[in-house]
Amino acid sequence: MELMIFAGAALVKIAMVMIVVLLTVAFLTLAERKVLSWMQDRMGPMEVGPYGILQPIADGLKLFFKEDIIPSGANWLLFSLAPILSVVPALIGFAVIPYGPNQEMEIFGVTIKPFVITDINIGILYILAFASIGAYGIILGGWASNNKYSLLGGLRAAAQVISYELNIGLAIIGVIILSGSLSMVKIAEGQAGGFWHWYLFGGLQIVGFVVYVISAVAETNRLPFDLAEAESELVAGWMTEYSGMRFAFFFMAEYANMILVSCIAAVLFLGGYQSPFPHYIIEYLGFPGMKWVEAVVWFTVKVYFFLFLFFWIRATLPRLRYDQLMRFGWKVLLPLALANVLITSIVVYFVRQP
Amino acid sequence: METVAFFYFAAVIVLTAVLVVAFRNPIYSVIALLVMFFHVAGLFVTLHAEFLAAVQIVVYAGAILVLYLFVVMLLNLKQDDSYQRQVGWGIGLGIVGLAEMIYLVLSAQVGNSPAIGTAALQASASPKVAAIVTRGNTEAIGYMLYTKYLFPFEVASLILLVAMIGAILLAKKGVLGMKEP
Amino acid sequence: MHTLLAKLKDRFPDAVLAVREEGPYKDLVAQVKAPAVPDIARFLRDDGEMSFDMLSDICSVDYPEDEDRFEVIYLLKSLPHNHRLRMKARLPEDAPVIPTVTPIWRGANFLEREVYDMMGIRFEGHPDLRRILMPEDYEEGFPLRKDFPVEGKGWRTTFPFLPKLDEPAVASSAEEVPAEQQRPFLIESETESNGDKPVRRQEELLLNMGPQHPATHGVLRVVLELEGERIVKATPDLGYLHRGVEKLSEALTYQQIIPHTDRLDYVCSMLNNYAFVRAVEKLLELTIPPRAEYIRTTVAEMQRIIGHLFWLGTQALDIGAMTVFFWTFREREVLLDMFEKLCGARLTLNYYRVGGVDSDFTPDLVQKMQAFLDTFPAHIAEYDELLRTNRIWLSRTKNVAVLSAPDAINFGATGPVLRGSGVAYDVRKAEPYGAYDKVEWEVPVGKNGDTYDRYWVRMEEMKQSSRIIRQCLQQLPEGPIIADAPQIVPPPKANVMRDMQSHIHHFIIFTLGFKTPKGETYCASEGAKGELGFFIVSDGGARPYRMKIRAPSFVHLGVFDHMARGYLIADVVTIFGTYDVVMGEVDR
Repeated sequence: MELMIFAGAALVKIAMVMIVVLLTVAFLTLAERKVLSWMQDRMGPMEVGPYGILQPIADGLKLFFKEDIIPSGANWLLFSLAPILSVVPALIGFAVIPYGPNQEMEIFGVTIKPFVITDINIGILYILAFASIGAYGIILGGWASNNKYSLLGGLRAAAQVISYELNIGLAIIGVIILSGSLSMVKIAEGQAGGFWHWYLFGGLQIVGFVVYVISAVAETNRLPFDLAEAESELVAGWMTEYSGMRFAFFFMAEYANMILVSCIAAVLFLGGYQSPFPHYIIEYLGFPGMKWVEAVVWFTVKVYFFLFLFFWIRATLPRLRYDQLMRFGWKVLLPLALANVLITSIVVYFVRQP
Repeated sequence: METVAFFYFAAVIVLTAVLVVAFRNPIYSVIALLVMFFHVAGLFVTLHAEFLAAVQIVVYAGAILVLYLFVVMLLNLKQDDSYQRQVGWGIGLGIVGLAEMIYLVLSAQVGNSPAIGTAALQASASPKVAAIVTRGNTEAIGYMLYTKYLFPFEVASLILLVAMIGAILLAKKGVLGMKEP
Repeated sequence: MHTLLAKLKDRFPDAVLAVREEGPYKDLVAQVKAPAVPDIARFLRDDGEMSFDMLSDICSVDYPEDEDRFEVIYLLKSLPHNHRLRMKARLPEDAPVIPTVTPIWRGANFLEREVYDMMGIRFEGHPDLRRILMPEDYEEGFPLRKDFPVEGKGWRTTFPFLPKLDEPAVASSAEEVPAEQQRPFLIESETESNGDKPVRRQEELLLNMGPQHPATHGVLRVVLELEGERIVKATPDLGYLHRGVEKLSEALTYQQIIPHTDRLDYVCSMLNNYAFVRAVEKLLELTIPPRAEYIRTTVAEMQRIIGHLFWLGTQALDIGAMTVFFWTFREREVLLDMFEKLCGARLTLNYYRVGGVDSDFTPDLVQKMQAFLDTFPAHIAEYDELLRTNRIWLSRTKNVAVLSAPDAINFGATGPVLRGSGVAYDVRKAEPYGAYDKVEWEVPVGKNGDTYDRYWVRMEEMKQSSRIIRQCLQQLPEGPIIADAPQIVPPPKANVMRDMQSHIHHFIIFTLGFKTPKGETYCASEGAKGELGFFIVSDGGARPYRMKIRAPSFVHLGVFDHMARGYLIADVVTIFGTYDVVMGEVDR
């Protein structure tokens, strides 16, 4: 009975998170187009619904009803497998993101944490592990399409993802040293009490933060690191031969990844759901029981700040070249991240010395 | 429950390991290897070694195998038939391996050796396992690596360093060689 | 006689058959023997007094009645001395072979291929003599010969290489061509593949870029040989937009050709109109009223701004900076609205007329232009700020696709491509026309010849253009906007419907056209892409006997392989962008 309630609660949480994430993905496409349009002096989508608000639904319907094309020279098994391999790792990472305070709640005698699907003690490693699997979707999709542009896109993606994953891993080590835990919940909890306790400021993880944000943009294949799909060079890179729902899967994976890395950035460096002040505003207003609402709002605001950053960067920067990307990753970001790890561990060692 | 999981993971590992060498298309082999790595990670999870499981996926599936795939795609290997010509060797080695397995299973049952079976392992090392579970296995692994196994750890690091320098040297030589007329 | 011609005649008494100064503008012409062309060409290029370092164009004319049927005309330009020369050689019908000048001017490669493609004249020793604009397996003959009908040979859909619409679709294209007939795109000419060295190594990847590709600016196709992502060889394949404008114009009167020139460089069509009407006016010795000259200069510079804005947007988009694209299109829109007010069209404007322009500026339009000029420098600064202060942009453009000044001249590059390499050659300054010599402006010149310098040159040119427009609007004189030449210029539209004589006059000019004096002329103008030249051979009729368009983009694509080698795939799109190629002009 207990197990069933536990499983039921977990399923409810998974369903909630998936619905929120997928809705965010859908409206993120609209948000991106709108933000870009405003930055570029134009209107963006305006036709479907008021201010084009229903555009994502129209897009989704269109992709859903498109003819499903598998090129004649393609390897159909891998060609169909690749979008799934892309989208699953992108969605699976949300299992360990704490999007609200680490409260416990009792339902029929079972204690559950309502604001995180599961709090495993290697949370951040778990996300990294599955993020690294996402590269397979790109590489296999590129190879299976039997198209030279796709192949080149796949190869670029492979090299890029490996290089920048390393930087992501190293950039967050500073935070892990500070928090002494790999659990996302514990990391978020450790930053309570105002923005000067956030690891970005309090832990002086500015270098780590910058390296992480740059690498995260590269990891999600967004401009200026979108070399794998570089529409002016490789047509659409590994997605060139994809259409319909398979293409939609890749698209969803890209946006879900964006949300995921934004969530990680928010949790690791900006305190996750923590308020930037020592107390929650809503407590002063006299509703201490409603604290979690404000916490979720803070988390959302932080995540959307990063998402906006993604759009902003896309509107501003041109694309890097492949060799410049590699040189930047290996010769600039990697030494920076290593130095950050070294300095943080030394400082932490001396500060924590009893 | 745990036994079921163990046998599922073990069976899939054996099957995919065979498939890795049996597939004629190197890309399929890489996919089979990927599935295998995942199931090895699953085995680690059943042993409460989540850290190892995650690292297994990050390092092997996420980095090394991607590199394999990269190389396979770059070289654009044709389908290789050499495996089919080594059937004789394969059968011979298979018989030896089978014999070893039968011998081990028999001796385990006869001598009730604790080396076989997860239950036996857990029974023999249960205080340690409990300690690991309470302390968090990441910390336990770090602790073990830097105390008891410090020397092997450093040796392993040194070997990796040598390999890395060697790889750089080899690659560099190739680049320089290409520039010569 | 001109000293240069005398010197040439002295140096090659046998090979130079005749020298003369032709026409009212004293164009230098030398008639030479075909086999001696390379020797004379080398002398013309290397001699200090001659130094014809640039080959503008190679043209060919077919005279079926003459004993030596074909004439090959080399249009030479000397940048140091700023003079031009036409070198002509006659070839018999049964052996249309002439030695190549590719070793002397490397830019001759594409030009000679075009002559071969269009006229069937073979160039001995040419490294890669293939069809360039027509399909490689085109077997209908040579289109610009006079015995090739203007309307084409037969109904178009009977060509075997065209897919037929009423036939069922082919399920798989692999079986369509038998294996022994399948041949890859001819990367190396056959002569290079002999010997035991394999032509293409195993590791090299052949990538076909275009004609359906988002970054090729139309229907350009480039076949890249890659080693990893590095380009070993790049072969442009042109002709997907070939319309045969030169052939068509042989059947049209001069006024009817003007709309066709719109379609050359369709981004800034007025500059083509301008170049063409100038060539015709040169042939006719027509003088243009000053107001018309000022109006022409003004709108030409507006078009240049449009062309450069378009280039800036697309180049930035190719490199990945999408915002600049929309910003430049915002300004382009303002200018297009003005053109709509001026002549009713936005893209293919057809505004210039032989003798003047079509319609006059209204005060409202002048005011709009002034308002535009007031805000435009701030907008340029805005683009510049977004790009020039961006390290990614700098690293993507600096030291990419470097073209040295001697190479640029030797390949015949003109316009911003040449000026980016540090050569201050601008037709508007070198051979002033319109009102360019009456206003103050400068020719911006780059230093290194890389993509960034060409970017800088074009940005500066936009500023100079707005300077020119401002001065033109200030100095704009009163007066007629079209020349008073009843033989050529039709009567005002208002009179045509009222006055019988005007009606007849109008009818005659628009049905018969106007006659031009017999002769030939080459007239170069500065297009947005480079030197846009029209070479017109007139037999005294109302239609050109032969019209050759010197398209700068076409010449620039001849440099493509030279510029792309050793760079990465990502740089290919940068190079496309930095030429500012417009395929309508390349394929003609």
